[in-house]
Amino acid sequence: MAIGRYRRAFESFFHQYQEMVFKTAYLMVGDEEDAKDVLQEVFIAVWKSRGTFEPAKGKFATWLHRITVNQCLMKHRKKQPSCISLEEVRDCGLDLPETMDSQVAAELSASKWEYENLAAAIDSLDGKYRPVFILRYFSELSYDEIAQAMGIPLGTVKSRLNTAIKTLRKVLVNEERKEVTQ
Amino acid sequence: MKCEDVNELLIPYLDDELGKEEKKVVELHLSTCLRCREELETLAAIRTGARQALKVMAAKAIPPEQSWKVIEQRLAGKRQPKIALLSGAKSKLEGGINMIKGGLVSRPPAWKPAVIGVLVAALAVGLALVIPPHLGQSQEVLAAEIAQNDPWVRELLPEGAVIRVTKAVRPVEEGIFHVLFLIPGESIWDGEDGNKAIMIDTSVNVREKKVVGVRALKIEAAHITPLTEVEKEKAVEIAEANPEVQEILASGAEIRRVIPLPFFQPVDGSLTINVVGVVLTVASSDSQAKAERWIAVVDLVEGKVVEVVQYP
Repeated sequence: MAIGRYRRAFESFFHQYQEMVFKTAYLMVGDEEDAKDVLQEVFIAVWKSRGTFEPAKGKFATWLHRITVNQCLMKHRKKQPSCISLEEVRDCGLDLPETMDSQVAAELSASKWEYENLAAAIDSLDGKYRPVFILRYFSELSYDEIAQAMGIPLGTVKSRLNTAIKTLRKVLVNEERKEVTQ
Repeated sequence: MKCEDVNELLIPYLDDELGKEEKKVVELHLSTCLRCREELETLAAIRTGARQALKVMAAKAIPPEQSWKVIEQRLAGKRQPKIALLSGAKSKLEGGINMIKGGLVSRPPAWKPAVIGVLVAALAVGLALVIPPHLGQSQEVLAAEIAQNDPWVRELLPEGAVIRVTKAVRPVEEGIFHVLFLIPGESIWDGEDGNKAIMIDTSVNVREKKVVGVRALKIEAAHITPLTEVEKEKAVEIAEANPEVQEILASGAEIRRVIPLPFFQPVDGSLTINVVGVVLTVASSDSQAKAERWIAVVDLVEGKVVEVVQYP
């Protein structure tokens, strides 16, 4: 009976966090099939190590991110996530919320060209910078939480984020130059 | 503080990750330095844009519906396919399989188009294959046998479904072979979905003689666009330049026809046929014996033969 209760609680926990884990994994491993594997492995690992979470050492989400990052690293990063245009997002039937689109338009003045260049620039980040970048700007973890999730010093988080953003700028500037000269 | 020192702090400043003192120093510098203010604006724009781009990229990733069932089964200590459990029941089939649609969702790995092409080609020429005989008693045959005899795989195959084709392909990882089963949709779905099919892809570890993974792909039957004469001629030309095809031709075979292999490459809703099959046949002198047949799978865009497969 007790196990049944735990399982039900775990199921509810799974439904609460699966999207977060899946999307984070997808951005990190760059492949939907691999992200599915990571999703399973993360929750199996969470179940197995459920007794080891210590609230005093950090937030639950950070712990979950740590497990996700570890599983992604184990999975290897085989390929980059595909860059798709906003139109393609809709074309593949995923109903990108209108608010998302207008938000993108308003905040970024994001033309298709700009978005695609940004996505391509993000794709160009290598394995060292990418997880830190995703945990900060997609998962919205603080530097301290990223350091815990990745098991790296705080200073390394700062320097990797600096490098990541500056790499994006370089790529974007180069793309802009290409566009101007064409 | 110099501009270059301040520059190192601009991203943590934007992320609100600076201590009070550092923040003051940065703000003081910014109040007097136009160049650093411009740099701050640029970095802020990139940061905002990157956030939005990540959201859009992640919007594509939707967790599969059957994930919890799979995890539940694993927690219960049962063997699991990676994607879905298929027991033949329609309801179970419909939830947890991937739809290869428009090539935008979950493209199959690079080896798959060729394999699928072979499967479709086999259907197109009206053959029901078990194991291509040219494989001989190789590890590929062993892989196919292991997959076919695995009780778990047998359980996945819907009752009454006809397994039209099995095909072992070369391992993508050492020791791991893929064996594919194609199940016609009409044995699973009624009505419109009857033109779809399920392909069950089993990963077999031939060393350990066991099935190590199973996944199901729902594939849509593609309309076959007739090939133009130019395409046929090009396919023949490419095939004839291939040493393996040349060897088959030298043994007395003739090129009988060129057939389209409909792949999952819709462009603007219509199919682009990039890969075609060149069918070669050697007529037997013994009227009782079956003719020997091969299909050379030709990629018209790449200008090469992808694979040559013999059929009984």
